Amino acid sequence: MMRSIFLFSLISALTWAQPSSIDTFPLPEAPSRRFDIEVEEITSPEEAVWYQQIRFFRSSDGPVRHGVYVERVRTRDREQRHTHFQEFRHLYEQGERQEAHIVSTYEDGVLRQRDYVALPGLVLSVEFNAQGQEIQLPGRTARGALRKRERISSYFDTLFELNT
Amino acid sequence: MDAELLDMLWILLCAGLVFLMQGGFLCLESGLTRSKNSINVAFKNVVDFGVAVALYWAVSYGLMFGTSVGGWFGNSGFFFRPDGFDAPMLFSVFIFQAMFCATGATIISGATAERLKFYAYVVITVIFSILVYPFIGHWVWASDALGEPSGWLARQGFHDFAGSSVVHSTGGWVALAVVIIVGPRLGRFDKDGKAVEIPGSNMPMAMLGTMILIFGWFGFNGGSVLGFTDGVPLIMMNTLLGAVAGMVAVMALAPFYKKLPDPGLVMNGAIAGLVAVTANCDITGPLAALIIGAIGGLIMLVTTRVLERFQIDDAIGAVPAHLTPGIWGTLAAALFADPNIIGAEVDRVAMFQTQLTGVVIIGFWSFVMAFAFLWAINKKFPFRVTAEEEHAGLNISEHGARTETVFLMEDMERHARTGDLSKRVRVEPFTEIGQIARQYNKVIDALDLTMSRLTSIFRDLNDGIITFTKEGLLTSANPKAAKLLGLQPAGVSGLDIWDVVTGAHLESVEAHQPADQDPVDVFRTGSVQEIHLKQTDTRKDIIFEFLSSEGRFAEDVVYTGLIRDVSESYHTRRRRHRVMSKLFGAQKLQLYALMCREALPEIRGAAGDIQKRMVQSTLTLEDAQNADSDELELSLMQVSASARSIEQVTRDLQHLEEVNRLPGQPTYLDKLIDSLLADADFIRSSPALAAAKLEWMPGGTEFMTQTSERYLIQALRTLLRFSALQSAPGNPLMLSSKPVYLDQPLHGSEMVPVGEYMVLTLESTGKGLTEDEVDKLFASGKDDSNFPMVLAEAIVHYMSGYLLVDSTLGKGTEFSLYLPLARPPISVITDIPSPKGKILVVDDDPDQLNLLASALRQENYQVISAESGKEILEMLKTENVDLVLLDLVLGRDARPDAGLFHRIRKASPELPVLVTCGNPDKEVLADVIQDGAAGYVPKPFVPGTLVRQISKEIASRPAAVQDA
Repeated sequence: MMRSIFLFSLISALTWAQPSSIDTFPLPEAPSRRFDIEVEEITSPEEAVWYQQIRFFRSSDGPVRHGVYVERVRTRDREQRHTHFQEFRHLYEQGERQEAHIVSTYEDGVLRQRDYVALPGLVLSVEFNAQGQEIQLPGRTARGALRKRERISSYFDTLFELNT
Repeated sequence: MDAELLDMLWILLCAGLVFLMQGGFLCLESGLTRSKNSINVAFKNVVDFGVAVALYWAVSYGLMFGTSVGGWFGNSGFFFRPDGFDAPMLFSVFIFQAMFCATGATIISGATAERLKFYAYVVITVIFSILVYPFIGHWVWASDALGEPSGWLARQGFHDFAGSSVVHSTGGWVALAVVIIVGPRLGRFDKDGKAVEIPGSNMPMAMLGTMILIFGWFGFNGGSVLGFTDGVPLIMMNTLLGAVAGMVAVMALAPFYKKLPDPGLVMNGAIAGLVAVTANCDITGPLAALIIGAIGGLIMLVTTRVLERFQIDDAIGAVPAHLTPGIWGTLAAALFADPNIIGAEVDRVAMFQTQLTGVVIIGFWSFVMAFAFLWAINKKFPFRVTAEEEHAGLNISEHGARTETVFLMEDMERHARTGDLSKRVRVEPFTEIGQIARQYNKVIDALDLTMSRLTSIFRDLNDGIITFTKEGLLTSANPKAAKLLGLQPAGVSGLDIWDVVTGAHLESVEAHQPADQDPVDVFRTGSVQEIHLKQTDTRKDIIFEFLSSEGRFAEDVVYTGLIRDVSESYHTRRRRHRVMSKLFGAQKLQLYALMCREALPEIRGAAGDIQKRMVQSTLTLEDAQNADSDELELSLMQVSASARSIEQVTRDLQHLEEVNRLPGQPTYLDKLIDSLLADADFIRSSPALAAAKLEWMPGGTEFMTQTSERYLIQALRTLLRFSALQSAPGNPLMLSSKPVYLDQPLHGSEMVPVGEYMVLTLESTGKGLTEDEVDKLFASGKDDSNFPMVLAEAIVHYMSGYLLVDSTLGKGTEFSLYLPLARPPISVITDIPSPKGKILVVDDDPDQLNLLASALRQENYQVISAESGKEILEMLKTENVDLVLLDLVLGRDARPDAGLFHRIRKASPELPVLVTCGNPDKEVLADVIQDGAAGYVPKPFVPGTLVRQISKEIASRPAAVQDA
C-alpha cells in the first residue's frame, strides 16, 4: 500500500513539471525599436514636477510617447523641496504606459532609495547611505539575493537608461 | 563579458572547488582513521555525495528554495528542471547548492567512522538530506523572486553568509546525535574512562586533505555570493585568514596541552577557523577574520576535551571542528560585523540575539530530528557493526574489500593463530607491501629452519622434555617424555603434572613427597630432583630424574622440564655401592682368612703340643677321661675339644681360601631351623628375640640345601637377632621356607640367577629401614658395629647363596635367603659299564677328595683314596691303579714335599702320577717333573679339566700296562 502511494506520487511529480518560483520573475520588456524618437526636456524650476524628459515620435495625431519617460517631483516638505525629490521613470510603448517603473528617492542630491517596480506589489528596493553606498543589511543576504537583486536592478537600469 | 555569464562562470568554478572539498574530506578522514577501515571511510565519502545530490535534486532543493510556505519550507522545484530564460543561471546555482548538501552530509561520515554499518550511513545521509538540511536552509537562505529573504529566520535578520550554521553546525549536530547513539569505538576509552588515542593510518594523506579543504573553501565562501562581484576578494581574504588563524592558534597552544603539536589537532584547527569565518566573511574585515578564526581553533580544542570527558568518540574530530566553531562563527557575525562594509550602523545586541536565536533553533531542529529518527531506526535495525567486524575492519566486513595489505595481514594473522608456517604469505609484486611480504617470508624461512632443527632435537632426544604452567598443567611433551609417562604426545595438554608422573600410568604407586610442600613445587625448584616411586604390586623402585627451568612468554610463566628414567642407573649405583661395601667386607674377611692362615701353623703347633704333652705324660685322652681328677679330666676334655675346634676352623678357613667357598653338605634346612629355634640359650641371648612373636612356617621339609650347617646357623642367628630388633612389640616375626625354581633372574637388592633354590624368608613388621640404612646394612664401617651382618651376608654368598633385603619405611623389613637346592644324585642302573680306570687320589682334604671322586665316578672311573704314604704304597701293591693323583701338600706342616712322589715312582715307575698343589714350590715342582711326573694340576682345579687330563693319561698308557 505504502509502496503504491510512493510510486504514484513520484510519477505524478515527474509528469507535472511544475516550474519553481525561482525563475518566474516578470521582467519588463524593452519598448519596440523606433528610429524617429525625439527627446524633449522640460524644466519647471518652481513646479512640483520640476523636470521631465519625454521621448516621443510624431504621428498624424500628434506626438506619441514611446520609450523612457523621466519625471522628477519635488518633495512636499517646503524645507527640503530643493534638496529632496523623487525621480520616476516609466516606459511607454507607443503611447501606452507600462506597469514597470523605477522610483528613485534623492536626499540632499544623493540617491537614498531606488524602487524597481516590476508589477504592483512586486518591488525591489535598494537602499543607499548618505555617501551613496548601497546598504546590505545582514539578513538581506539570502542565498544569492544580493546578486539576484543586482541582476534585476542592472536590467532595470539598462532598460530605463539609468546606466547612461 | 556579460555580467551574468561571468556570474555563472564563477558559480560553476566555485561549485567545482566545493566538489573538490569532498575529495579533501575523503583524504582527511581516510588518513585519520585506521587502514583497516580506510576503504569504508572513503567509500562513504563517495556514496554520500551521490545520495545527497540525488535527493537534493529530487526533493531537497525544492524544500530549500522553492516557493515558501510561511517561511518554513518550499513547495516547488522538486525534481528540479527549470526551463525559463533564467535556466542557465539556475542550473549553475543548483549545482553549487548541491555541493553544499553533500558537504554537510560528509561531515557525519568522519565522526562516525570505524563502527557504522554502511547501510546505516546511507540512512543517515537520507535523513540529513531530506529532513534536516533543506528546512534549515530554507529558513536562512530562501528568497523570493526579488531576492528578498523568504525564510522566517532570515526575515528576523539572521545572517549566515556561507553556512557556518546551515551546513557545518547542522552537520555537526547530526554527527553528535549519531555518535551518541552508536557509542565509542572498541578500545577508545579504557576501563577508567580515559581516552586512548587511536592513531590514524596516513597522516600525510590527512594533511593533504586539509590543504584541499582550505583550497576548496575559497569556492565555498567565495561562491556563496552566487555571482562575481567586487565583494568576492574580501570574502576570500577573510577565508584565508580564518584558516591560518585557526591553525596557528592551535599550534601556539600546543605546549599547554601537549608537548608537541598534534598534527590532527592542528589540521582541525585550520578547519575550525574556516568554519568560524564562513558565516561572517562577507561583513567583517580581515582583522576580525583573524580573530574569529583563532577563537574558532581554540573552541575546537575545548570541544575536543569536552567530548573525551563525556566519553563521546568522534573518530576524526568532526564535531569539534564543525559544530562549535560554526556556532561561534554565527554569533561572531553580530560581534564583528563591520558598518563600513554593511553601509549602516549595526545594532549588535539585537543582531546577537537574532543570531543566538537562530543558532538555538538550528541546533534544536538538527539534533532532535536526527536523534529521534535515528534512535528509532537503530532500535529496529542496529547501526553498529559487531565487535568481530570492528576488529577485523570495515573494509572486509562491510565491503569484502581486499588489498595487498589486507592479504598480508590475513596471512600473518593465520600464522599467529595456527603456528603453521608452512604456507608463506602472499607476495604482491611491484608493491611496497609486496616487498615487506617478501622480507617476511625470508624471516619465516629462517625461523622455519631453526624450528625444524629444534623440533628434530626435541623429537629425537633420548630424554623426555615437557613444558608446563606454574599451576602444574602440562602444555606439551616430546615423544620420549610421553613414552616415559605413558601418554599420547597429542593428549598431554591440560593434564596435571603430579598426577601424570605419579599416578597416570602406574597403577598403584606410593610417592615420596614432603607433606608440607605444594606437590608442584617439586617440579619448579630449578635444581635436579629425584622423584622416587615404588610400585606396591611389584615392589619395583622407579626413579625419575627431573630438572626444570623457568621461562617467560609475554605475561605467562612457562616451565620446561627434563625428565629421565634413572631407575636402572640408580639401582646399578646402589648395587655398585653395596658391592664396594661388600668388597671392603670381603677384603676384610680375606684379611682375616690370611691372618688365620698365618696363625694356622702356630695354632696347629699349639694343638699338637697339647697332644704331645699328653702323650709324653703317658696320658691319653681316655686316661684323662677315666682319671679321678675331675678338674684334670675337664681340662683335658676342654683342651681336646678346643684343639679340634681350632683345627676345624682352620681347615674351614683354608678351604675358604683355597676353594673360595665354605665347605658344605646337603642339609635339611627345615630341620636346621627347627633345631635353631629350639635352642633356648640362643633365644634367651637376645631380649628382643625372646620377646618376639616368632612364627615358623616350614615349606620344604623334604628338600635339602647345599650348606655348611655351622656357618648357616651363625648367619641365621645374626639375621634373627636383627629382625627381632626391627620388629615392633607385639608384631609377629615370621619365618618361612619354600622351594623355588627361577626360570629368569630375580632382580632385588641383588640379582639371583636362574636355578633351583630353597628360599628362607624372614619378615619383621616394624619401622622399616631407610634406603641409606639398607645400603649400609652389609657394609663395613670403621667401628665394625654391623660386622655380624657383613659376616652373615658373606657366609651366605660363600655358600653359593644370595641374601636379599627389602624394607619399606613404616612397614617392615624382609630378608630372603636363596640357598642352592641339593638333590640326591639320581642314577638309573641298566647296564653297568666297566670302569675306565682306577684312580688313586692322595689328598688329605676330604672335600677335595669327595669332589674329585664324584666327578671321576660320573665319568665311570673307580676312585680309591689314601691319606698316608704307607697306605699308598700298600695300595699300589694290592690295587691295580691306573693313575695316581698326588697332593704334594700333605700333613701338618702344609709344605710341598716330593718325598712321597719319589717313593711312588720308585715303587711303580710306569704308573702315571699327576701332582697337585695349592701353593706350588718351584723347586719341588721341578724335582717331580724331572722325576717323571705326568703333569701338574694347580689347585683349585676344574673337575672337568682334570678328568680330561686323567683320561688322556690313562688312554695314552700302553694297553699291556692297562690290562695288567
